[in-house]
Amino acid sequence: MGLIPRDFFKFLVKRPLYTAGFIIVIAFTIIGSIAPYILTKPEDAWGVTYDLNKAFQPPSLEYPFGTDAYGRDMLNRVILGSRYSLIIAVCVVGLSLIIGVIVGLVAGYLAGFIGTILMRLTDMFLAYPPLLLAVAFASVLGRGVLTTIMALAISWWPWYARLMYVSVNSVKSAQYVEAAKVVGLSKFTIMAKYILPNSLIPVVTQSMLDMGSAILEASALSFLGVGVPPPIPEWGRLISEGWVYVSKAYWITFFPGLVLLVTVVGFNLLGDAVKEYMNPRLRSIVAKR
Amino acid sequence: MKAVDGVSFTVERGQIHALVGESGCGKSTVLRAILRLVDVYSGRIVFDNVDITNRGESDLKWYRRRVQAVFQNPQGSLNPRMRVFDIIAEPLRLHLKIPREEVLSRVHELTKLVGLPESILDQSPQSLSGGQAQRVAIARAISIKPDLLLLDEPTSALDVSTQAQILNLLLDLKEKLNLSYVLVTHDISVARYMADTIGVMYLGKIVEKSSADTVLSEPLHPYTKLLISSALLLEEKSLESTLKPIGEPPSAINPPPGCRFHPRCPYATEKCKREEPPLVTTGKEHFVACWLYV
Repeated sequence: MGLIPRDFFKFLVKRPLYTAGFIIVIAFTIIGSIAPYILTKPEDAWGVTYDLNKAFQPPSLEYPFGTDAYGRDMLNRVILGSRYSLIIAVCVVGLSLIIGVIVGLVAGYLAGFIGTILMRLTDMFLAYPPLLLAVAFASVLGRGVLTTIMALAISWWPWYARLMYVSVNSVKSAQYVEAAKVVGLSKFTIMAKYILPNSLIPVVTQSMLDMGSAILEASALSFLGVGVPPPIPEWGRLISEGWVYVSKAYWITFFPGLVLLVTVVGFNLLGDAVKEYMNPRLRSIVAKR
Repeated sequence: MKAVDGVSFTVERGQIHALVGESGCGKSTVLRAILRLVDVYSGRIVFDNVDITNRGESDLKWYRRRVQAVFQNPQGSLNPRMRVFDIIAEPLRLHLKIPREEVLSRVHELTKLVGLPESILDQSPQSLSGGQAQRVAIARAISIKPDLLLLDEPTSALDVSTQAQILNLLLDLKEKLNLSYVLVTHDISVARYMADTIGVMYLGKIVEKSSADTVLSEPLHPYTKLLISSALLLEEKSLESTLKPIGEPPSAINPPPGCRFHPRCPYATEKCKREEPPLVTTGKEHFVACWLYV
């Protein structure tokens, strides 16, 4: 948390909507991290047992989110689902960030032949709608948490590569980079010590803004049946499972959908807050770090 | 595109050579060429009898160790993500391969030499004033005891009071460390204060060069006269300018034919519009490129 400047909280407190977003994100992160330990009906959540006698129970005190077609408690399944959303979102954004930063850095600084090849490759990926690309890769790679992460990261990194490329290009003509050349530092040292730390802020900020979209796209893949396989209670999968019964048991679809909506809105609000906070005073934050 | 053309000068050991001219005349490009930051398409850069014009970066390490530079914008030439200590220590670590304790003591020595307090070493460049930042840049440049220091408008971004301090520091260091300087400036009074020899540049060409005294006391080229009289005009308001500048300098990308100065020159003749004057000597090492003296 040392990375967050203290006056960011002051900034948040004055804006209740952003505070709500911040609280949602924190709650989601905490629940996602400790999900397996707070389940009241773990066997329902993991989906290992089923009891058809309890199927399609509407929301009640016993089952606040109702039960699904196999009589499993939806609340427990939604709670465990948050863990998968968290893991997938963090891994997708993290992995794409690493690939995108490296590609953008090398392409931006070395330019020339390698740079052109890398950026044309990036453009090739950018030419497709990202979800379409992810669906294509997911269906080739097969279903699973890891393959979902890979499929999403493959469609995601070019956006960071582009952003990083632009940012590197503006930093590489800075006078301190010329000064580093005059000192006699190698290209690699200049890249790692001069270009990288000074061009990272836009892309890292963007990656924070993208967490909500990553959760949404992971769910979209599962909803379309190419993402996380059953019985893992990923939110998108829960929604698609309940979809068939939506007229007679709305809750199977409604509650995972509601939680997904609230989480994504929370991330987007926090993203907007970060954007608004960073924008007019980018320099002063750089100085504080 | 020829931004700089036919610029030729020599710097002797322990001397200060100033390149003077208005902004956009290509004087900084000359420095950047000497530093091999821009490519040189024709001509040669010779350092200590070694031609370095076309050498690759791997072949230039010895040159980087012996030729250093101080740039115009002091804050901008320091990496904002590094501590002042690391900025000064970086060339030492790279070129000298000395143990850590020695780096530490050398950095402290350098800090004292350029007149900075030691407390500054832990700070980030953004917290420094312009003058302090320029001292850090100077400390970095002299840390590996180079022979030649290139100064690109070292004081033009600083307060007037700080300018004099930095110039005095540079003169001081030149004596102590037996340095040679190439000084690029648009300010003829800085050149007067510092330089042993002066080359006056106009639109990428040297129009006059000689010892500083000669250029300043007996300027020949109309452009040099214009520069000097406008500097005097600033200093002594009563003095009337003998030459009035005519218009703005034309673009260096597409220079006028003939003498490049002719559209602004009060003495311009038909010949000046057609033919480019050669750089000729008028006796005692005084060179000028003007048809008036051919």
